[in-house]
Amino acid sequence: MGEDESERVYRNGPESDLAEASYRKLQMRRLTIIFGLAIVTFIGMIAALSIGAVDIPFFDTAAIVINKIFFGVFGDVSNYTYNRIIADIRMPRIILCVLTGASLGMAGAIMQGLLRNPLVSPFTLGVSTASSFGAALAIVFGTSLLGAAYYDSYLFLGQEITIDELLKTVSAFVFGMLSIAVVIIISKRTNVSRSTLILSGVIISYIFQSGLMLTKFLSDDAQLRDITMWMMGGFSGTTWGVILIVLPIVLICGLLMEKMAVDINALSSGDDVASNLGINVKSLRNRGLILSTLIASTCIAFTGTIGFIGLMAPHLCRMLVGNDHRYLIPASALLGAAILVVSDLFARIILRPSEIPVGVIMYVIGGIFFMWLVFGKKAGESE
Amino acid sequence: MKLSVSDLRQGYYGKVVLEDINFEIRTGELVSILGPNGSGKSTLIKTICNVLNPMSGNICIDDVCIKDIDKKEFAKRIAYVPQTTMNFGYSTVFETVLIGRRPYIQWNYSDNDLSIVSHSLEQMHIKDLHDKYVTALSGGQRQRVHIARALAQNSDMFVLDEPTSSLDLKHQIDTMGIMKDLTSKQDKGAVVALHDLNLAMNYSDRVIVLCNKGIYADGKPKDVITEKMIEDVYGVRSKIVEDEIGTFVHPHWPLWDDRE
Repeated sequence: MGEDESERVYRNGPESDLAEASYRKLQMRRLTIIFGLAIVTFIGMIAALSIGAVDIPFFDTAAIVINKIFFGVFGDVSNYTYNRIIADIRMPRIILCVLTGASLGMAGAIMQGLLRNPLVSPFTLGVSTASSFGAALAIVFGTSLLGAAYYDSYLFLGQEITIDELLKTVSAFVFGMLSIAVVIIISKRTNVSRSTLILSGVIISYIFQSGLMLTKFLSDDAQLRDITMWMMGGFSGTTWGVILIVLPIVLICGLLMEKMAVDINALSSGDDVASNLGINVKSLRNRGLILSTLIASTCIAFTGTIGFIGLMAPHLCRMLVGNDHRYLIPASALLGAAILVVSDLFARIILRPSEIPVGVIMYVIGGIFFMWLVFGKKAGESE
Repeated sequence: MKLSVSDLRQGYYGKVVLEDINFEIRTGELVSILGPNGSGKSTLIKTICNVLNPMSGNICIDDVCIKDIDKKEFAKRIAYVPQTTMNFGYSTVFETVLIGRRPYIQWNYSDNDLSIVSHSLEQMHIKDLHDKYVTALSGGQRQRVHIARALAQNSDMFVLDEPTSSLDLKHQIDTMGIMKDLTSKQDKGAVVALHDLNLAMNYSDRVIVLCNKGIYADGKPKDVITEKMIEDVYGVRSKIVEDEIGTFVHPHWPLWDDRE
């Protein structure tokens, strides 16, 4: 029985084929939406590379990008200033934008699926607040900890790394991971429900929030401004060194998440059903939470707090491509990336040459898009 | 296939719900589990479906202890439908039933998987709902979707916890009929927790009654479902009536006393 039995093919006439054909059509529709999101993200990236404090013609932008992809084999393809702006300033910034949007989108999709709750995101589970606390600690107590060395900088792989930035990044990352470690330790107790896990994330968030308030209270004016700016999030000053760290982490975690997509689908029918289907639910939940926190913390550590995407991108994508995580994870990654790239573009050009915080634009764009989806849906399609 | 439960002791947080449970179930028979609320029917079902680990005792399939069986292989032997079904997000009926194919796939579904799902939808008479969101269905329709999901799992034995609780009369009869067909024609096994004594009486090959943490009776429906058992286990007086179409339980309504 078992495997042999699975080989039995059932055919029930044209009506069966109708259900199968309809499912295949649905899959094609989803792939088309994912392809469409990829194109939107790509167009957003090209626009973001061309437009800014200095507008660069499209063909120069394309030539520089292609040259950069082929490691500069075509020599000088445009003028020096354009090359500098695109290759050294805008490209790393926009790639970090894409990676961060994708990471937060995927992290949110995984967390929502694992905990079967559409309101869960790296924010609700305390990752963002913990990272903010970590960064604030580094800003306020960095000088007491390292003395004059706090202001040193070193060259690493041709990139200048300042100790204060490094300390801030490492501290934000470590505290982000710490928040989920506490949630997982709580889940080690037997028979802990999903709501207890979510609640423990919320409580951890409040504990770090109180630490953050205390740190702000102890800070001086300059430090307080630093903390506030960090918490607004942003991508200015991104270097290729950052991309070298973030890219492999996001790619590897993304692939591992995609691998667990079928198990997360099974989890949507309940923990008991998933257990019976041969899935170790506790281990799946822990692995998923660790992976999603790892990518979220890595990005947040470099960019500062970027809210909203982890909640909204998967939520919107669930409406667009349904609940099959094999499609939901890449769709959330692409939509997250598209929203963040476009938001960052507007943040750079609205008051150019000054920049406004990316969150200001992102919340407006995402909010309008969300309202359009919710109110534009036909009756009976919503949950 | 033979499922054997020996010296099972089970409970929650140190509190014992079931103890000294022993029985064997083979494919080809439809076994109903009866008992009042809180008698441990769901606990027993979750334990034999490997959802809960027993406090002590052994559960074996063909003399191999289930904790020694690979989890995916176990899913091909026993399929489970819980008492309350759960659905999250925008999943269509077809996709929800497709989840039952998880033990057979790595990441992608084959044409054969889709055909099996289609056949399961047909069996449960929900083919016309294939592209509807499960969250938009009625409670009874959802229950049929989850039974179809278990059918798609194509296991040797189906274990269903109160599968008829949300179904109308026609679908109660249909569901029990499907279980009967699976056991009598396809040599599958079925274990069904029920509250409806008439369904148990007329569809089961065997009935196990749980009461006071143990097995009160285990045997053929007519031998087990007696007026005495109903009074002892449920605390209700009743009358067993037999006619040419079957044997039925008539509970004694308190209102009748008033009329008399």
